[in-house]
Amino acid sequence: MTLPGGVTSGIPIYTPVVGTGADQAALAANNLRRGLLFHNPSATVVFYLMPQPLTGSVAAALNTGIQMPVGSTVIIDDLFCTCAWRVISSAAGGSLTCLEWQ
Amino acid sequence: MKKLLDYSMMAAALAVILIAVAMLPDHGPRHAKAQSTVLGPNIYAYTAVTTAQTIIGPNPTRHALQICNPGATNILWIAPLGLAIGGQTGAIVTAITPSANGAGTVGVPVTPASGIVTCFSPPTNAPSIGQGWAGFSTTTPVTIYEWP
Repeated sequence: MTLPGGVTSGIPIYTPVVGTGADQAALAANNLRRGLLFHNPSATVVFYLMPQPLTGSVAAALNTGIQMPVGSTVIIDDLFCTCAWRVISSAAGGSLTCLEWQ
Repeated sequence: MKKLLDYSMMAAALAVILIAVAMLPDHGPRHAKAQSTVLGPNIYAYTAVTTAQTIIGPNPTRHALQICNPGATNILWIAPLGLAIGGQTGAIVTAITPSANGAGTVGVPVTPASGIVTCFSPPTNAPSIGQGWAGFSTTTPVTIYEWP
């Protein structure tokens, strides 16, 4: 089954995020999203996630939001997670794995 | 004669009631019923996946999945077999080759010296259970439990 955007059902959507050391967008809002997985495969960089409100924007900041230490995983599959997400990294470099299923 | 008829009707009604009571379900503890087949997960075991390879293929009828790292030294790196890259508008369906600390991968940590084996399960409330996965690690073994 092909979903809007040409995405095949059951195939996760991967959004690559590379840490910049500054607040940046990680995921756009997606009303079709049903499951979300964040993982920090980096060796040294720590990420901080900030879910976004329906209106306006909240910048991601160090030591706030959802901390993702090295090697950590956050899975959201039984709570609403269709909002946009912003992220900041403790330093430039490192990557954040963002997988979403819809 | 009428009295005799009444008695027989009462007896018939009593018999019906007794039969109905006998057919009521037991209100005591419920026990699992015997099953005609032995049920359990499919188990896939690898001694090591030193080069990136498919460790479990897609299975749309899968009900649950655990990818476990019973090793004590090396992280197991996994990635979905198929991906749409680039966010919601991405139409490119491809795969990421799992590598150590690689972008797009998910690391399954080693099992603690004394603890429960570390396992990864994809999101359960999404069409992700049937997803196939590739894996890579330098020396660690891999055990996969799949509930069909």
